Amino acid sequence: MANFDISQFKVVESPYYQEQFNEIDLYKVAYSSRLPVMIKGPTGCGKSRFIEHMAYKLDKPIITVSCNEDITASDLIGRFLLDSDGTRWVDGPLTIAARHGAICYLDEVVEARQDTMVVIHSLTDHRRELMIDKKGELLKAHPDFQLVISYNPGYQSLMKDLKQSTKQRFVALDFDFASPEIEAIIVSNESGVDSEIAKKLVQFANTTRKLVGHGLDEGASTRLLNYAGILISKGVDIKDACQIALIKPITDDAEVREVMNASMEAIFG
Amino acid sequence: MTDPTYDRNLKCAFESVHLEFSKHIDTARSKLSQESLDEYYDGVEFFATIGQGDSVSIAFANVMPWVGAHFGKNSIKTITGFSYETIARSPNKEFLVDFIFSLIEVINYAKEDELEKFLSLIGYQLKQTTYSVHGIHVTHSSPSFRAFLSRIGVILSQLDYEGIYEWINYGLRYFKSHPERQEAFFLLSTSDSRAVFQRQRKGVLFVDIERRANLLQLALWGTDFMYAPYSPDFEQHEHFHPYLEDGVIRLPDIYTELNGINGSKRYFALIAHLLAHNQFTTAIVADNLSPHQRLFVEVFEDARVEYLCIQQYPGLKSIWQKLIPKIGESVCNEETQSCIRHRASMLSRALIDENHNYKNVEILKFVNKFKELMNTGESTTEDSLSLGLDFLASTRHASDSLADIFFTDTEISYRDDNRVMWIFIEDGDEGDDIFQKKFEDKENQKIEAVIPPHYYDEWDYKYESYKPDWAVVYERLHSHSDATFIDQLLDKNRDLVKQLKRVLDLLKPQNKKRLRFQEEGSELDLDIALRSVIELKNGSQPDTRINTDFEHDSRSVSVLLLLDLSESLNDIVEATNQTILELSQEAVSLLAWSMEQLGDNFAIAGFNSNTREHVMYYHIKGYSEHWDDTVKARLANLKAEYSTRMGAAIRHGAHYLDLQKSDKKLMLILTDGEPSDVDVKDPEMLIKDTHKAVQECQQKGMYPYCISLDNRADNYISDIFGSHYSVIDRIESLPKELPQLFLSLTK
Repeated sequence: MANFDISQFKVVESPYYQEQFNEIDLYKVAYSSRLPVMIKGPTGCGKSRFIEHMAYKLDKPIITVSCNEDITASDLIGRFLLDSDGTRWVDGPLTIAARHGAICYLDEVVEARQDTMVVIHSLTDHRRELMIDKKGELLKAHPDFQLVISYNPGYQSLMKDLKQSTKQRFVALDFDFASPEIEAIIVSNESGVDSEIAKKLVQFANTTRKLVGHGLDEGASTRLLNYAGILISKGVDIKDACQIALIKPITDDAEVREVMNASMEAIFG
Repeated sequence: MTDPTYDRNLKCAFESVHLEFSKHIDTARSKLSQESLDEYYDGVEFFATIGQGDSVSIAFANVMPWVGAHFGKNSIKTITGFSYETIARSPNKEFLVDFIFSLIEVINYAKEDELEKFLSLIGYQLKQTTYSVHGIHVTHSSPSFRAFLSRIGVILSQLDYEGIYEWINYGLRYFKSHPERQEAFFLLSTSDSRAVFQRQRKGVLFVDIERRANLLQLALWGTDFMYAPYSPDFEQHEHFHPYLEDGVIRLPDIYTELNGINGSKRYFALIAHLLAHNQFTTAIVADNLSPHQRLFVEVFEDARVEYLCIQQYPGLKSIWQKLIPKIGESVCNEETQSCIRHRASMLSRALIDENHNYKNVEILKFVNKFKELMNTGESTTEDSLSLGLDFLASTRHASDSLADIFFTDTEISYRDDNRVMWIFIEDGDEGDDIFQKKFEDKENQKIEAVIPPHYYDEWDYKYESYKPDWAVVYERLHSHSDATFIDQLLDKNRDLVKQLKRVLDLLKPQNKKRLRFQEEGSELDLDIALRSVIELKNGSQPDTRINTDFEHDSRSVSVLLLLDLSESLNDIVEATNQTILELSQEAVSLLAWSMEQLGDNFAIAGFNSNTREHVMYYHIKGYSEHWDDTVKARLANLKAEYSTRMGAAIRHGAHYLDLQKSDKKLMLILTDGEPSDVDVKDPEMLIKDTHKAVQECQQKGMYPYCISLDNRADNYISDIFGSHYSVIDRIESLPKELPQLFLSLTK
């Protein structure tokens, strides 16, 4: 345990990130006081990329946990495992981060059951400590430790929401798809297509986002735009790329597809 | 052209015919061949001798110069022969004049070589609709021939011959023995006639693409204007253009392919154009402008908004380009005709198409001016105004105001009437608001004023096809009286209520849901159990919640209870001395109470019918309403009258039930007899139709179930509902049986 190498969780290469508002400075200030941060925003708008980018900038290790409904408190904290000598304690990701001073990033946190989420409470207020009851250890968090959670307020049902007692432990950054100009810069940088094509791709994505609630649950995300851009820069025909990266993944409704095809024809000529 | 020296005297006793003939002979000489001219003389002379006075000859003299010129050699003779043999020598001779006059419209649509085809069509309609009472001799004139002739232009212009025969046969099939309906059918004035007619047309119906049009509008412009399609072809006397006003887009109800652009793309082009105006046009004052000036200002404004729209959506350009007619530069003669529309058309094309190849200096000059304007990046409707005025000023020609205006190919089908760009300060009579008029028409008919009726197809088992828009369903809120009446009924049955309560408590909802981390449960959760074992070995406190269990989720049922409210419910049941209606009320109250207890989503509706034109669908309880006094008051006032057109009622009920979001959808139909109606003679017809309606429901995932009170029901009920029915023989037990039946169905 003593020779645990936390530096493996460091981000080695600078992840590309295009600032949308002054979120980078805001985050830096929050980190300097180790305030827990909550990031909201639709699928594929750059939440995870942002955290990765900040971890790189701050030169801190980051441990990401993707939450699902079967995740339990011991999946976060750690548990005893059987081995040839009997049992052995293994730290969970949250404990590793708290012990060694990393940013712990809980992605799509509303997917986790509410009774699981309460274990983070003591880490996210003035106490900054974690009771590992099975081991009988009270872990004081490392000075570099910070907790970040993200979720998508759009598509989760009313049933899946965070408790107020959890919500009110975080400062929140609200993300959305970037403005068309910035999003075009992102797409062009990420995928290598020229800025004209990137602008058109963004224009097309925005037509799909207007259909949310009218046959679409979510519009095409920035991530999908990047995929389309990558396909195009590798020589795939623009319309084919839109088909396989932007239209087919997001809907199975034939009429909606037809409408998206017509929009595509209108935009790309 | 005929020999100018040819001279023949018309031999005819009627002075009036001579007079009329002299008016037309010059036209005839200039249009007809020598041979045809002779036939023309023969015809006029002949019809004056057949004992119908002078009217036929006058009509003949009037129209034949044009008709003969259109159909060419021998056509006048053929028409003369046909008119005499088929019309004059039949009970239909009164229609001869109408027939001859209708030819003038026919030549607009029938091709030169189609005379035979056309005449056999006329002959067919006439023969089939002329009927005899005693069999051997044809004795009665056709009730619908005149109506048919009055619509001949529309019919020929919209359908091919195959389609026309289909449409005629449909009319014959259902209205052969009903003169008034037959006439209305061939007049295209009934909804079913129009529906059958529409079905024969080639093209894309707007209703079929409406959802796509909505989504596209939202995706590309973020707007949600409503659509109101109109049928330009049925209202030929007025000429409509699409337009957008008061948040409603008016557009034609059908588009056929044009210049390689299919119907749905044409709709797209139209909507794009309207929304381009909506986005970029600001209205300007029109009062000081002449119609010619407005025409050219509109051309520039259309081009301007389209240019701006193309900057956003370049794909639109090729569609619009293809829809603007390619008009030749020299097709219009400025000396004899007004070329104003021809110029406008050329200009429209030149403004959107770089490869227009026009040489006209002024057009080239103004296209350049337009380009310069657009390249500045800023333009307004005012700029179109000055371009339009300048263009007209520098191209004005003396012939512009001639009455003979060149029209061919000058219309751009997808463009609107541009009412958005004009403000009329003086009150004028601009704009033809057909929809307002229609609405007023409707108000005259009392029943339609509240909610417009719904039209449903009906199945015809003999022809294995649907009769489109056949039954007219009016939905109304049921009248109400005193709610306490229902409470009294429930009170009377309180023993039954108690019994039901016990059953209700036992009713378990379906839908299993896994629950993890249970102390007690039906299965062991291995992952968790293993963890606990480790903890136990380790000496720490193990988690004892190592089981999984299943929980029943809430009941997800929607129920529609459809009540037959036909006359026969007024029959008295001897055992209880109550009418069937009263027993039904009791039963329904108990059932409704039970469903409310269970928290199920349910609606109650009643229906009866008085011919296919009046199927009444009474709303008693809606899905979102609770079983409260308002609902009870409606149920208390139930009345039984008229007949049982069940298929239409099932279709209408299914329409709403289908919208409910639940796993199980049950439609309970409570009836006391077989489907029937006063206008249907074949008893099988409505039974088969109801069966079809039941199948339609099943295909949509609903579960129709019939509770019949008819003790003869065994003869037909399984033909309709398969095995999904119960027959209650002792009607007096209905209040007890109905709720139990429901409970067992949803257990």
